[in-house]
Amino acid sequence: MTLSFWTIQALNALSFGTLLFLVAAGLSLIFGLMRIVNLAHGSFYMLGAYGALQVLTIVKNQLLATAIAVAFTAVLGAAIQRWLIERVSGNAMQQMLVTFGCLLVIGDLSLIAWHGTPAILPVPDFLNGTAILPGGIHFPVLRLAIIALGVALVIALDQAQSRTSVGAMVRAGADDLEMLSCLGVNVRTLFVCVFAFGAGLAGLGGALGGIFLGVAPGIDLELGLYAFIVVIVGGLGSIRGTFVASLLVAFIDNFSKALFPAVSMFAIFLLLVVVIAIRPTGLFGRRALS
Amino acid sequence: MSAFLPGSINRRTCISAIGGGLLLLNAPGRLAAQEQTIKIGALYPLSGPSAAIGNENMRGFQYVMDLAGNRVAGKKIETLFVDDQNSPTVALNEARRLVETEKVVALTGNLNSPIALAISAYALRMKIPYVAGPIATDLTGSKRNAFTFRASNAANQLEGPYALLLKRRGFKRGILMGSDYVAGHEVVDGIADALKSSGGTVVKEVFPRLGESDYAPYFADLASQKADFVFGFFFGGDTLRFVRQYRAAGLTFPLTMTAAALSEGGVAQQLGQDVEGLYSQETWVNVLTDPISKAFVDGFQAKFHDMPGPLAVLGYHEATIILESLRALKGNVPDGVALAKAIQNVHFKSPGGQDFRFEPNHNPLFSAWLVQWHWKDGKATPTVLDTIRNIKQPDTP
Repeated sequence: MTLSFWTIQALNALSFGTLLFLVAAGLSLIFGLMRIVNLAHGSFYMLGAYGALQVLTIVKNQLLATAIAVAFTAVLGAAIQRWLIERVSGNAMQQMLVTFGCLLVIGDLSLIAWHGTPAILPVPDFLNGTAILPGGIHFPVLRLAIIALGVALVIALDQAQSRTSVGAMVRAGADDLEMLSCLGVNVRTLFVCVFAFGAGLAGLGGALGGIFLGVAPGIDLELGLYAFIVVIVGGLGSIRGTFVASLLVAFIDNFSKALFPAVSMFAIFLLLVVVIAIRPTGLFGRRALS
Repeated sequence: MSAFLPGSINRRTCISAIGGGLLLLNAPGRLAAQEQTIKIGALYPLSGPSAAIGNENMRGFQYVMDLAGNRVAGKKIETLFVDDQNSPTVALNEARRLVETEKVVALTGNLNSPIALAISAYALRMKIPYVAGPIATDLTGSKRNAFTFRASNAANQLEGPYALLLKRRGFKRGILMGSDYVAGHEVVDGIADALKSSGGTVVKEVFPRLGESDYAPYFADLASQKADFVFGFFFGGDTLRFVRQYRAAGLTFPLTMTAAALSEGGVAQQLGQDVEGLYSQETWVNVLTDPISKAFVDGFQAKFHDMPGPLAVLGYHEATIILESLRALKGNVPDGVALAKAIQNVHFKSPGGQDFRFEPNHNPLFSAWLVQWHWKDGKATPTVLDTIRNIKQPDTP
């Protein structure tokens, strides 16, 4: 167990953590503002990956393919919020069931469209290869890039939430929706936008994660589950909380695999149980998932 | 409650009487039809995540039957293809329907070990031969029976030869990795035993969970190990992630993958340039040059506009076993016992040039090839390095 072992493991955890953050941030925002438990959130991750893969067969530019896939998931998210979830607004149980239905429908349609064979996105040329870090540590460039992107996004989102007027609306909406709409804010449009943004982030997660995690039926449930754990641990609606929880989950997952593989399967669930028992609102949350 | 009312009983009696009458009316026609047509029940996963591999398997079967004109010894063969949904419950229900309602003379197919064990027990009870696809060791080991035959290799059949093939390339010190479930442990243990008994060394064994998303944590301390090769038992999406992340981690040990991990379901092609230099053991690859493989590849491509993989060859085995046993009986199947006996004696050359015949435990002899993969002009292409023939399933308790 040398220094390089710990450094590589820490960087691994960081890269997985930032990927988790991309998926969980949208889930957290959507719940924080609209109180919607979006069970279909993992579907956007899957569609981001499949979408990028599909676009890549037509255009050869992976950046462009990623952008199109993100736009697609965002538009789909907006459509689901506007035409499905809005119909049952105010009824949390029905909303949850609608999103559960979306999860199943998207899962089956994806199976028809892309079959059950597992796929993996190619590594874009400019991110291919291994970087040599100080101390002679070899680490994939792709993962470094994901860490950088994730950190940049956390800072941007956190600033946007606390400094911009849209961010203020989102925060205000999370506290008191009625008051916000009384102030003349078009809550309906705000909801659609936030849902689209969250779905787009998950889609971006899919288009990037698909490069090293691949995509196959069931990944929607798997990543969705991770995202829910992150959101519950971090607290609903808090960007900072989501980021800290993403890292916490990723570090525990990573180091339990590296040091005690046998317990890695339930290590993060143990974290979940402990957090719920000690702080039901999550580490940074103000309201419990009820 | 209403079922106990007299009126309701009358109605039921009435309906069953009519039903019985219809059956009687129909009976002579059915008997006549059965004399002409031999029915076979073929169960494959045709929906859900396994649909792609199920389809490939089914196409191999179809190819052989269609080539024979769906006839043997002047009799017509009708194959009833059924979706087993890769679920033991569904498969068993469908098997019952096929045997008891459709009166098939034999069952074949499936790609899932629990299904095979369930149907095998049912086949024994009904005395109907079952030509199975899955690799579960027990099927021709501790749970073998007189009516179950295996058209694929057994899970524990190929490790010894693989270790030998690797040793011939000078690979003696291995880091063995496998998905953490029964088959993963069985195969890794098998390789480890064979490696040790031939003078090799197991440097380390690692078992990431099945469906692991991030293998990188397991790779971090491998670079400092003294090893000749890394062996990986992973399938499907796990293989894609494992190989991609192995490459990204900058590890340089030759990577040897378990049988069929790269050739099944187009995994090698998906890997792109990461496939370059990988080794794997295969029971068949479509670049083999023996005449049967060549004819099969050409015919399959002409028929389905697709390259056959090892699962298509499995379908080829299943169909040929049934076809040849029916031919031996001259198209007359008096009962399941006679058909099982004919199946036991089936003998043909399979794609790859292996003499296909069953051992007394109903498991066939197999050939194994060591191949190395290359990325040429946008295509994953295997190169054959070495072969071992007539491999038996080791004795199991």
